[in-house]
Amino acid sequence: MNFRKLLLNMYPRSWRAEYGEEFAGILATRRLTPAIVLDVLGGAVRQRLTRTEPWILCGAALSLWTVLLPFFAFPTEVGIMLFWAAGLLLIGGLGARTRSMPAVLKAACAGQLGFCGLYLLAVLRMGSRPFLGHTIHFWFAKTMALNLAACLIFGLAGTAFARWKIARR
Amino acid sequence: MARKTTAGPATDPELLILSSLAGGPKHGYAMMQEIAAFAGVELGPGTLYTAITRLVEEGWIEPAGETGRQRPYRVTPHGLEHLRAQLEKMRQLASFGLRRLRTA
Repeated sequence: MNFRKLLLNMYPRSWRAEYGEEFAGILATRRLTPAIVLDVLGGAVRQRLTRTEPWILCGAALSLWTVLLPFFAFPTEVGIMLFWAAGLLLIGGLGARTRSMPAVLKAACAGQLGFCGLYLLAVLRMGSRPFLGHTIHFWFAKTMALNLAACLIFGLAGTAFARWKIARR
Repeated sequence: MARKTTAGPATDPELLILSSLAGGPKHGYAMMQEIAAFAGVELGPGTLYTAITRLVEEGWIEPAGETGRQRPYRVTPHGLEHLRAQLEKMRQLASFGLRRLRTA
């Protein structure tokens, strides 16, 4: 497969069905400088972002966010709070963007799935040893419930805000 | 990424495309050539087609032929209305700036 074809394949299939042929025609006329390659890749990312269901993107981002938590936020409490707050802003942004409550709910659930990886790691490392007076299972259940509640509150607040803004227009 | 050559402030790809299509239907490559000539902006293929996709989705332009290597696009009445409104805003801004410059 040549490089131009590879670049074209970075775009979503549905987009290629509509614009692929003419886009390939334009690409064939251009010399592939680094600036052009970056421009084409930027276009591919934008199309992937706009053509993927927002809740899938947000759920994936939240999962990644949660999995990255130990690398960036531990061991300080302030770090954890800042990290968590940024994740909640993410879900609030999703609500404002989609204006769809079911999408917010799906993204929150997808985000929780990402948290399961951390739970498994903690179980493997600590087993059932008590930690601050409780088992890791207790902390997992508590954090998950809090996360889910906070995700829903922020997501629905974002949705409500976006709907209010539209109603004001 | 729109590569600016001798461009002024008007470098919004969507506005440039609408301005180009206001003169008649064109395919992507012809738009790029004309925009480079009249605005001094070289639109990359990714930027051009991101803007074309959005303009089609907004209903401001539409394909004027079957899918193919050189499919032309034309501006819709809704697109012309949008272009007129945007250019009017730019004209107001330019008049305001020039008035201020005269009194400066």
